[in-house]
Amino acid sequence: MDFDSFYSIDSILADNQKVPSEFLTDVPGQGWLQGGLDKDIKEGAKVDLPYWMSSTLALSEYDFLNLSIPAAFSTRVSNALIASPTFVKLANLNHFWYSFGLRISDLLEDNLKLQQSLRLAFSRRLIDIFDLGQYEGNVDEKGFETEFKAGMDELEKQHNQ
Amino acid sequence: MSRRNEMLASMDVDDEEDEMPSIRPSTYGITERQKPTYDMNAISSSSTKPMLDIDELMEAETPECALTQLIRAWVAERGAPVLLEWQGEMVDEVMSQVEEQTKIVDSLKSDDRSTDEEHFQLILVQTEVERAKYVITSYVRARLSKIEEFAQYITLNPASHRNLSGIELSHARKYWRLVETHYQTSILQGLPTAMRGLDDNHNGKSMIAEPDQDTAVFIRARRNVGEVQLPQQSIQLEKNDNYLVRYRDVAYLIASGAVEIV
Amino acid sequence: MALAAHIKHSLTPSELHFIATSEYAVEIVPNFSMGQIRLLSGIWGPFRPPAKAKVPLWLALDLKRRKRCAVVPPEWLTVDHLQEKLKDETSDGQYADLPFRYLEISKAIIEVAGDDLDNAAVIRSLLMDIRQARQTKSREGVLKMNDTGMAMTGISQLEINELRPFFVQSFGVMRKLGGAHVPANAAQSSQSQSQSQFTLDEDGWDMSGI
Repeated sequence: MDFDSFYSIDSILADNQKVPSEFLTDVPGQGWLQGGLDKDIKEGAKVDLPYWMSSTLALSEYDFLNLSIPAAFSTRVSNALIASPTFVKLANLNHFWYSFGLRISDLLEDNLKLQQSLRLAFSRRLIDIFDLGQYEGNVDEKGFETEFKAGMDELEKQHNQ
Repeated sequence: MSRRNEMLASMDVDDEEDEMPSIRPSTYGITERQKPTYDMNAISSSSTKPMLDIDELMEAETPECALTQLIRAWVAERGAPVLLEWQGEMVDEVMSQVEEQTKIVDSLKSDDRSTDEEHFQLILVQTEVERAKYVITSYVRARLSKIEEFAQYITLNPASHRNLSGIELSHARKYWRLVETHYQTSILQGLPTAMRGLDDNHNGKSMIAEPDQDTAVFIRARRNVGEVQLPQQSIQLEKNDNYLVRYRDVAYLIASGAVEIV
Repeated sequence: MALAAHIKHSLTPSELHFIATSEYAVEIVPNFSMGQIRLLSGIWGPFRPPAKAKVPLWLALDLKRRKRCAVVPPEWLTVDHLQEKLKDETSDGQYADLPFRYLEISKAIIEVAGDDLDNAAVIRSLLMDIRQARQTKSREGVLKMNDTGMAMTGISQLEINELRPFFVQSFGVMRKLGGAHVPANAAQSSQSQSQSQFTLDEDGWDMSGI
């Protein structure tokens, strides 16, 4: 039931979503993380690291990393969600948009805006998710249903199983 | 009076028969604990309404049979996120009733002096006995499913034991031992010692599956409850009102029988 | 596992049928004569035609299948009453006042004892109209969804059962997304330090916490 429990595969996958990270120090021998052929990571290198790694490094007592908020949670996205919540394709932003969003919000001191954005998106998209389950195939105004379905995040999809 | 007559009389309680030798209590299933309770402490202390009303008094006169109560316990068990208190007395009561009815059916069946009417009654009795068995097994199965899901949690938390029957607790322990041994021998033995734990915490997530008291339940008030405090509001809960609420907020009302899970 | 995952947190339609036929009592007109019978559910009868007798619904349906009785339709399971309810249902935002298990009961009676109803076909179509009107109200519930508590006054058992998986899950998600969310990493002492390591992203996310 719980989408964020230890044995939840979605939870593990959400932990693997990438966070833009900038190294504040040289890391010898770990160049493979950048995906290239370099042997070492140089100070200032920008790498997308999975959440579980970037959060662990960022939370350690050494200044290893600077993290940036992933594009999926940018102001542009939150504005689009306020304007028309059902037209935003969450799946294109991130398949685990809500779960990943909660993780990012855990790392922020001022996470109110992100949390509001997550909650607003869910509560305003909920009726369309409900309708999709109830009336699927009955009405499809201008392909809205198909479009909306394609843009649903994994958590939303589970509602209709 | 023959043995046959005695048994029939116990099943057939037609008014026309003045003398009714009874091998059973006159009505089934009204045990002490099943009488309607008006425990003020069990109900919200902030309650403003008088707890007794006409409806309740009317209902109090026709107490429910054990089977009806067990059906409710089964439905509650299916809806509740946690393991509710084991209704041992209720189960025992229904079991002994089933046993008695079965005994009567068996002996009347093998008696070739039984009349057509008696045979017809037996069929009805048997049908209901099958229904009662179904309720008992469904109730036990609903609990078993949660006991196995939370076997590790139960094994590690003595506080959770009071809601389990003796054999349920022993099943939980044995079940968890099996699962644990299986994990150890099939996977964990091959891992470094530090990674063999089954009760660790990772990123704030415990490996131990625990019942979530905040899970939503649909409830229905069985009597006028009055004011109930929810996290951000207080509600007036009247008889037959339905609500979707967190289990945690109404657990005390479910335990007292004032509301039922539906 | 003792119960399949999909029925673990909901009841099946056949379970609901079982519960309704156990709980609900209905009047019958027997066509046989028999004294009282003591069952686990109580003492029923005597059965003396043409007098009516009240019995649990499962017993009524069982007798009906054996052609031993006619079922007396409950007063709410009539064309007049259901027309009235349909009017309430479409004119008011609340669920109309019907028995908690009206769908299970009416379905069972129509299936087994349809010939005892006046105009079973009309009753069936009225029930379908009522059901549809009520679905609109269930949809309102989705719009009001929150994670603290929600009144669903007048909703029936079968409707609850249909909504349960969706509503319980949404309720849970709302709670996780809610303002009271406690960061999973709150326990880690180094958190305050890490927070300042976030930089303003290119979209200008408001980082007033820095």
